[in-house]
Amino acid sequence: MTLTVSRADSPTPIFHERSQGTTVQNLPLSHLSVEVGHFYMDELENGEGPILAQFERVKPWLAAAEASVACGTEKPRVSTCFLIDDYFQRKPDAGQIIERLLRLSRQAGVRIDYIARESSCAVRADGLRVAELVARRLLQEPEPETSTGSRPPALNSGWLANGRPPREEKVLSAMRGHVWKPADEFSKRNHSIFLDVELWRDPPESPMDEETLLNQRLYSCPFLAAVWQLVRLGLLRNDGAPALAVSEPPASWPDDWSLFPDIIKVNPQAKPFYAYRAFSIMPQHFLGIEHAVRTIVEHFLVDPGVGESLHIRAEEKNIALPQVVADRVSHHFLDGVS
Amino acid sequence: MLIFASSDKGGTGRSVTSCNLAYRLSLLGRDVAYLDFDFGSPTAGAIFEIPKMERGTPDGGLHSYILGEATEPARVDVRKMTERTSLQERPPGSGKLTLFPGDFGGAEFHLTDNHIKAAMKLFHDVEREFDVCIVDLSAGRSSALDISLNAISPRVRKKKQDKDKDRIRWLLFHRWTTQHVIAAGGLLFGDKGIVPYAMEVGFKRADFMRLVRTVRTAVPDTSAFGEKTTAEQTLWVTRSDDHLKALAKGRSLGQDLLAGTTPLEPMLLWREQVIMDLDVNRRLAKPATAQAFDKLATKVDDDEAWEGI
Amino acid sequence: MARSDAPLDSPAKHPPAVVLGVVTTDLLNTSEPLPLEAAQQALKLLPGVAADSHRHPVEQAVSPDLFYGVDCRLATIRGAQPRAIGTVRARAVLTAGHVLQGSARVDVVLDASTRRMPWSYYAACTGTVEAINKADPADLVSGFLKTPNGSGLLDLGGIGTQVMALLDDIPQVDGRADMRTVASRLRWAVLVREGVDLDAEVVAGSDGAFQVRMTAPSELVPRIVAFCEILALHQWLLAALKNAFDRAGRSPKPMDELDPALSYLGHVWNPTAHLPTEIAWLWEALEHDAQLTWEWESTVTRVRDKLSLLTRKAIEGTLHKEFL
Repeated sequence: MTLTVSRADSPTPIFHERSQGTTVQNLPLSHLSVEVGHFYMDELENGEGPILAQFERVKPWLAAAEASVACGTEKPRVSTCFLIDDYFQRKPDAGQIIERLLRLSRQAGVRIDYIARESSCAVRADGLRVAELVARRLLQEPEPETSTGSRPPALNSGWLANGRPPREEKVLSAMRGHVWKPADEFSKRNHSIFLDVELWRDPPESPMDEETLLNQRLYSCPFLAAVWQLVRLGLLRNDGAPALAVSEPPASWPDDWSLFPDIIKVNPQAKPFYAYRAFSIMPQHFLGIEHAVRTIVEHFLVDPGVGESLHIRAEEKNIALPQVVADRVSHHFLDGVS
Repeated sequence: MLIFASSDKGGTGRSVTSCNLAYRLSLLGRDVAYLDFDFGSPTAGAIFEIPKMERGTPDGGLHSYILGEATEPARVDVRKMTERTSLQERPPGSGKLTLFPGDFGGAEFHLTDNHIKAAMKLFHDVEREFDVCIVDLSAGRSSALDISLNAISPRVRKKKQDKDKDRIRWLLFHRWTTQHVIAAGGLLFGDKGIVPYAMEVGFKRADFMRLVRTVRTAVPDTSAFGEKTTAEQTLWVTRSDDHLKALAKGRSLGQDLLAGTTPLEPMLLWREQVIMDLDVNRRLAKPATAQAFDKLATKVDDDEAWEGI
Repeated sequence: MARSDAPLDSPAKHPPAVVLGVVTTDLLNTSEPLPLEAAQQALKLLPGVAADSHRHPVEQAVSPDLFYGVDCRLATIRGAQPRAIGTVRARAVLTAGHVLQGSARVDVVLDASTRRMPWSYYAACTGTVEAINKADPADLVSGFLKTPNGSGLLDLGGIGTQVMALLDDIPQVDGRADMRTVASRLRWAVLVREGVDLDAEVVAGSDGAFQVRMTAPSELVPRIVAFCEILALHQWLLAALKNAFDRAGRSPKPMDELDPALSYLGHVWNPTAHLPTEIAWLWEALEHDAQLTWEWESTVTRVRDKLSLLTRKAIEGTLHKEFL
């Protein structure tokens, strides 16, 4: 049976019924979100001197960032944020820590608009598993020339690599028995920089049901930091709404971190939290972690609807927005203090 | 229905009998799939006379599928692809006959959970399309056999079982000689045999034994001596047969477990192939051979006859 | 953070030269159709995104798009097979709570780059593969349609099957469909030409599978996808009902074949139900030549006639026994 046809006129429909699964919200957006420093929890607990010193080092780079914003035809909007490291360590004096942090940043002349908690990047206050929104959207790179789609993607659960790890291969005929094959970065230029990132760790005896498994899953620092970056860029959504939402500060600071909202707006005059681009200023020992973060972000597939909504907005305002998500993120690493 | 074809040794006629069983079941109107799980030496392509598949397919056969190298196994409509003209016809009232070939140059491998999952998915998919799926396993305890037992264990097939009876048959083929009877008993009941392993993967012994039946292959009668037999020969054959029956019974492979017997068929000595009624009409094959395959097919197909053995 | 306004090394948006797709259709392996709410739940294949759905006139739920990474060859007839890298887009469609489709497709971009780029480049334009060798678009269309599978070649059918397999393990699916069915494959390919009128050819192969070849502007592609999914669904429905009828002719229990076939599939046929109006004319033209709806109706009639005959015989048999 063969049939060849060409176009004819078609009538206009009068009945519409599409329960569109998800409608992507348009978020208020700044041009740039600046992360003004980062501390481990024990650093926040100890002496004030190092905290003040780091904020003082951050100040000129924050000013530089504000001066260099790409904002198209609009007036520049820059918001600042600070991520509290409450996932791996939790001490019961949260209120005190927040107050000290805000006081020292003010003293150093660094404005903090928003405070967020790292724990929320794993599971947010209402129980939604934010980290899994990212985990389920990571796509392992296909092996060069052999990935036809026939073979289900081999997920080495909990790890993400930018290539193929080194391995010993059995040689059937040779007397030596084994031969070593070096690691291979799939998108290398001449030489490889192979990176294999631990995303999370599950208990050794994995329980069969997913609920129990996820409750026990321990996410790695780079993985939560990648969630954080995607949240700042407005790219991580749940049913079209931002995966982590901004709240007004509580009347008084609770002492337990788990009672804090996910993201708190601590400066009433702050520009929007979410932004087209994200810039992080942090001590240079975070370089390795941020390399891992970048690798994770590079393997994250943005929901097409979300990606498009940002691009449409950017285009309207004549704002350059890189297609590649990882290119919307930049860093300044502070060198040693003393 | 899933039918597993196992055998103690090579050369028992397991594959050729299974192919004939598949053919006969299709004549009964069943849609039949033949899964070549003889990973080391797939032969079903040769028996069904499918060109370029005499020793498996070069691309995406069951071996590759189990190893996770292909999402879907290669499949062949036997009647469309066979070189044997008489087999190409689909007689009225007969069902489909589809071969899932093994891979050319496949080999045994270590058993992993992923292989078992692949086999479960395979059985699940094939059972949805066909009435009968015959799984031809490599001889002896092989990874093909281990994978199969894991994939049909009550632990993983609960879902289907609680409605109506899960239709699984486990056939053990052996030749009718002292050594083969002993070897078959060893394969089934020995320390590293099928039954202990079935229990290890979750079967209750009695439940698994309900699935198992034997097929005695290439059983000779006095005609094997030639046209005229002496009284001594007749007596000797009867005695030998009685001796074997006693041996089989002693090894728990007696009548109660017997699903069928196929006679020694000269045609199959030269060439392993499908015996069609046409071959009997042309007086190439013995009528008893075709009848034996037919009887086995009818028995396998009928739940009551099967249970009542 | 000094930045120029122009992003560095960003993938430019290249229009596709060719769009390739495969729709695989089969019965969802469950004894009763899923109610729409359960279907929506089942097809929520990604956290944070709901399934699309229709309630009228035929219930249908569509999963969010999933993406699969590939780096392999594309089939051709004349030229060398180009290597293509990127992601394939796939989704599951469940119609009437019972007929499941895995629909995979990919935009093929030519002449964009000549080597494999960093993965973030491909992650940024999902649903697209870039061929890094020269290729003729028309050759890619022919190669794809004429080479259903081959070692090292893009396997869209396999990807669709993987999406369908995601529904095997969910609690709503009991694994007890009462009907034997055969999965069917529809391959389709579009040669993208901006500013031209849609041109289409539907071919039924010797194995019964349908193929669709089109020339169309890129804006029509989403509607073409819908058309091909609808065509695949109805081709499968027809084949499945005929298979049941055929099996009933040789089964000792013909009622067991005809009954589920009619109750599972009898009410599903409605090709224009979710057909985009812009290409509704295409279906009409297809009907004019192939008369699929007539074939469906006459097959349903045959099934019903046979069922009532069998029922009458069964009743007569019972009465006869009572008389004796």
